[in-house]
Amino acid sequence: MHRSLGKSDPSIAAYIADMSTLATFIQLGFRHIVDVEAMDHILFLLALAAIYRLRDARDALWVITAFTVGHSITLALAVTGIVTLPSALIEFLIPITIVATGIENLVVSDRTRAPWGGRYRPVFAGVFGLVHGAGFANYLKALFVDHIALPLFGFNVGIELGQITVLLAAAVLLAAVDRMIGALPWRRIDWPALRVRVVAVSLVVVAVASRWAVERNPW
Amino acid sequence: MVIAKRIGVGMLVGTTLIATPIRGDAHPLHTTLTEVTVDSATHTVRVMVRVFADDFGTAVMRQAHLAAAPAGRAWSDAADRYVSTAVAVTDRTNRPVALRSCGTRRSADLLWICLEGTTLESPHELRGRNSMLCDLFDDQVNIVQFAAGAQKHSVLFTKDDGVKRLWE
Repeated sequence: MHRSLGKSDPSIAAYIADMSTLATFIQLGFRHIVDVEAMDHILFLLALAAIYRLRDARDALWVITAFTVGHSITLALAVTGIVTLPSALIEFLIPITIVATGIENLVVSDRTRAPWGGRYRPVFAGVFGLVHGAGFANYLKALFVDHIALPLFGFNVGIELGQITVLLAAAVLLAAVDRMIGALPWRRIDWPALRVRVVAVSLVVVAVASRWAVERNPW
Repeated sequence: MVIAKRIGVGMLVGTTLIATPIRGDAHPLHTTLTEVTVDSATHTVRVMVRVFADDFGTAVMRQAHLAAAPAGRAWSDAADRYVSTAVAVTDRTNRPVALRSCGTRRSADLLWICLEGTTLESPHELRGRNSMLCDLFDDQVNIVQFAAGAQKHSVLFTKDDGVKRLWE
């Protein structure tokens, strides 16, 4: 016996509903990260990306993915009510993570001599991701008191896609900075162009994020 | 050379600190969640809006040109006016379904605003508009989850969106 499947079939309807919810929350996460108002997240990504060149894309992607894993964990823990996070403290800690990343960029001048060949960065990004995830959590927790799994998953996928987009934009920006540095007539050869770029970008990032940390000081 | 580097670093940091217009405010997720449920048997449309109470209060006061929140009836009238301008369900000809308040409750920071109306329109032909808080925030995203029986669909509304189909 032939049975036609349509939107009214319960299994198809459930599938469409799930896909629609997923797409909606992917858009929500993506918009949240690429929005110009999200300067704290964008600046953190810029600080993470500052040390990489296009040929290091795989390393950069690992670091960004670790960041996503970190914020997904806290987001899930907070939204499901397993942990409760004080908003003021989290908002203060977010610029602190940016400052710390910038300082790490400044301090480690030779990554081949850094501990574990500099491969600790994904761990570092994952731990800081825990803090950033807590920043999203309070809003999502309040709104989505029921059926949270799929929206949460979609939101995280959107955040990851948004981060990759920001990373691509940062790669273009940093390549332009490299060209600019290379073209400077007064530049001496004692620092490679990449190091000049890392120092310049990190100093700006540290300066801006330090100011934010002072403004968000909860005490 | 060392002195030149130090001067360069100092100028870069100083200029950044002075010139940056970026304030360090946190970046909240400006979102509301609205459930639109249609009961085909009774032709009832129920709209449940979840919105943060503080933002909603600011939007209502701004629309009503109030400096402070009034008490009692005046407040609920101003709130109803704001909701009716921000949220609508329409039929295929864009004629709005008459929605009346079916109560508001507060849980923690969130307001749950209930609206109800009746329509003879097929659920799959219903349209909607949701500009809740878009007057306050440029990055406002309103999620509308539409349900008719077992069928569900989600739609996003942002600042410049008009009426959209609730079911694709």
